Amino acid sequence: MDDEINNWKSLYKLAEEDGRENSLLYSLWNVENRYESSEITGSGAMKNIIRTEDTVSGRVIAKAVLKNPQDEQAVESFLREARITAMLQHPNIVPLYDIGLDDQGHPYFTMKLIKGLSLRVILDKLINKDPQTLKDYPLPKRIDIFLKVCEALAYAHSRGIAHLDLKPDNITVSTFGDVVVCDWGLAAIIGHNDDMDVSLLESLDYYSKRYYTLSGEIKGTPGYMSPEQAKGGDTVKDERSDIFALGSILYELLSLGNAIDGEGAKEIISETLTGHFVKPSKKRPDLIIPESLEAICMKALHLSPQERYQSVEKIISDIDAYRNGFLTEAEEASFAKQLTLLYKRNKSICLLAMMLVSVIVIGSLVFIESLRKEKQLTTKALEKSETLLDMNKKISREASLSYRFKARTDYYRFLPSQAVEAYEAAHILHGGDFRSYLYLAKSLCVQQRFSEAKEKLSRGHELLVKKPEEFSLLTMQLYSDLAALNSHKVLSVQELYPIVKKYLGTDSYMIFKSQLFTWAILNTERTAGNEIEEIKADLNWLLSQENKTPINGKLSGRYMGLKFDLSGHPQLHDIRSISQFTFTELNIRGCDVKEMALVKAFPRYPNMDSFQRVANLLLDEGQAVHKYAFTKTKLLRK
Amino acid sequence: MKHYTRQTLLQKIKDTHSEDSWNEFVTIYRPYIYHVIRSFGVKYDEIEDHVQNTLVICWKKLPEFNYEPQKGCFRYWLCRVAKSMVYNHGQKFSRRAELDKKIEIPTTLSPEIEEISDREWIDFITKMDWDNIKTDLSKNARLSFEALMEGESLDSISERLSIPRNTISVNKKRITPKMVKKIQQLKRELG
Repeated sequence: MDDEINNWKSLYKLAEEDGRENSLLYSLWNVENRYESSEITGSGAMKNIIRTEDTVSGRVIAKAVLKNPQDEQAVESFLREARITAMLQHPNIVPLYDIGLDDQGHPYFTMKLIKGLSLRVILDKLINKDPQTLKDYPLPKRIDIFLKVCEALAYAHSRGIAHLDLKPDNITVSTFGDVVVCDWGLAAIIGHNDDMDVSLLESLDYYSKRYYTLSGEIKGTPGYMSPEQAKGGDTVKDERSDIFALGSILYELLSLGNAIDGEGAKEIISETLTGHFVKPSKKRPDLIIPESLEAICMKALHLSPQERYQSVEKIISDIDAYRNGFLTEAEEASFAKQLTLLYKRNKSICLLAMMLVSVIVIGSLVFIESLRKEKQLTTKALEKSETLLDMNKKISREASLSYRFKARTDYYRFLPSQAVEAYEAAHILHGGDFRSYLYLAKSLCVQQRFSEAKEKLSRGHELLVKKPEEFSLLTMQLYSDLAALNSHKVLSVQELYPIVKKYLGTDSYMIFKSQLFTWAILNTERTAGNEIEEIKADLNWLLSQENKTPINGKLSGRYMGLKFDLSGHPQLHDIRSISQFTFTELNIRGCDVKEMALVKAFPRYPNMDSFQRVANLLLDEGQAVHKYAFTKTKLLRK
Repeated sequence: MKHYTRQTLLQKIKDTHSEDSWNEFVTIYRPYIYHVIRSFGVKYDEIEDHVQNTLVICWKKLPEFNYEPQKGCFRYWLCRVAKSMVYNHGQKFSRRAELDKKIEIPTTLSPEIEEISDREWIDFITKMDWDNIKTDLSKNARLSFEALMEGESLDSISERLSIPRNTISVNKKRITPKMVKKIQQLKRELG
């Protein structure tokens, strides 16, 4: 193609051709003659089978046409066969694709083209001892084929249709092991089926009666037709006639010879009517013919339909039973036979059992020995794990203690949320004691988590043996009162103050109280843009309450950078309540501050002083500062 | 450029009849109509007039066009309009307003016009196709493929552009299927 593309136009032409060849729709548009290139591949009494290509679906199929389309009766029976085949949809029945009339108005029907050999051909090759065929079709394989034929017929019978012309010629075995039953030309309707179209049923039935009289003419193939078919006349033909044919086919599959011998059709027919058939094993003593199968075969070949199998399913289940090593219905059971069968079908199990027993004995010995060893190991491991557990406990305790130390420091540094976390970690590691719960409750209360505080404190109380101390009882009441407020907002210092004073009104617990007030002032909801003014008001209000005199300090700066000017308040004696606040500058010039330290002494915790968050303190010359206050603050004296 | 299936593009133009769809219609089909009319042998300075008239009439008569693949494609219809403009009516009606009232679009196309239509269509589609494809190509690939399609020999191109022969062939192998695919698409979309 490459060299032809040498100008723009050739590109266009290529696109045009390419598009046409590849388009399926285009190919459908152009179907003029649906079935093309036909060759006759087989023929029956009335019809030819043609191998042809269906250009619509693009597959090769088989097309059946009448040899003599002028014969009205033949046309009707031909179409009848097609309709019956169409009714039967089973993997082992040749699938019908379409029924129609050709250009000349002649009927045809199309089916799957089965690539393979008819069973007749295979049997002939077997009889002639063709080595490849003998290798390809040993008895089990032949029984497989037979079972598939049985399944097809069981299905057809269930649909109310009997084949009535079953013989090896009408069974095709494909290269891939598919078995299909073909040529339903003599099929008769033997029952009613709900799925059947009533009009079809009537027309077929009418036709059967008129031309194919179930009783009357002899139809079928001598050698496979049942005695009732061979007899002709008024005898009823039904699925049991097919069962006779199945028996005859099985006979042939087993013995590679005909069940009914005879020269010519007449002799065969009279032979059929006597019902005396030689057992396959007697006929061919050189072949190995299983008794069970022979019994099945002979039962199917009974002269009287009542004595035969009454349904194909029964044959199938008997063959399955034979295959699984059970006794078949047709076989007479003896104890020895049963035992042999038992042994046969359990051969592998017996061997397996022997092996298992020896394995169990050896295994038990090994197991007992290993148990003993294991016990020793377990004891050792247990000991080891106990020491590990001890160590683990010890580590937890240590860690818990260090968490508690950190938590307590956090509390004194006014870091309540960190204190809560550290206490909780300590409690998870190694439980807690009364003091740790007390501090946890205080840290929670500072953050106004009152009900949690209450709960933690009562947990602490549970751990106490003696009666709780006074502070603890007072705070318990305080938490209860505060929790009872059930406020959704942060409580302001004005709301908090009276309740706190009610229980902790004394001069002690200053750290806790100032933390409570400071947190409240810092976390109260503020009007945007007016925060500093409102904080100043709160601070002044708090100091006024504590000093019982109006205080009017001046607050400037921003959050975290506040300057508070309290100068010129000679009545200001106590500034402990604002000791946890952060100021870059605090001015107490001209004040007479007496109380500024939160505790009297901190010998063990020198860094827990008051006003640790004040950077600069403005003082008068000679103004006193407490030893435990403003220890980190730069003092600026005038 | 946006493309639609043939039916939907025409359907869209027929249905909306807006300025947008007019612009789209003109953008796509104007070059084709131009070349068809030029092939009729019209004087150079009159081509533009005929093209404009044809476009206007097509635009107005589009609702009459029914897409039936069996009866012929859209471009034949375009050519029928163009032909009637040039040969029968074009000169008679000086005022454009009268055009659409009086014009009858012929229902058949003479073989010679059909040939012109086909020839110009191939040019038009391959050109549009190439315009689409070439933007993604390197300069050398573009130049060498173009030269090949204009009929220049492999040796001559190789020498002129100093590209190895092998590279040119590989380029061609790579570009051809793309072109073919795009042509098929344009054919489907534009009628």
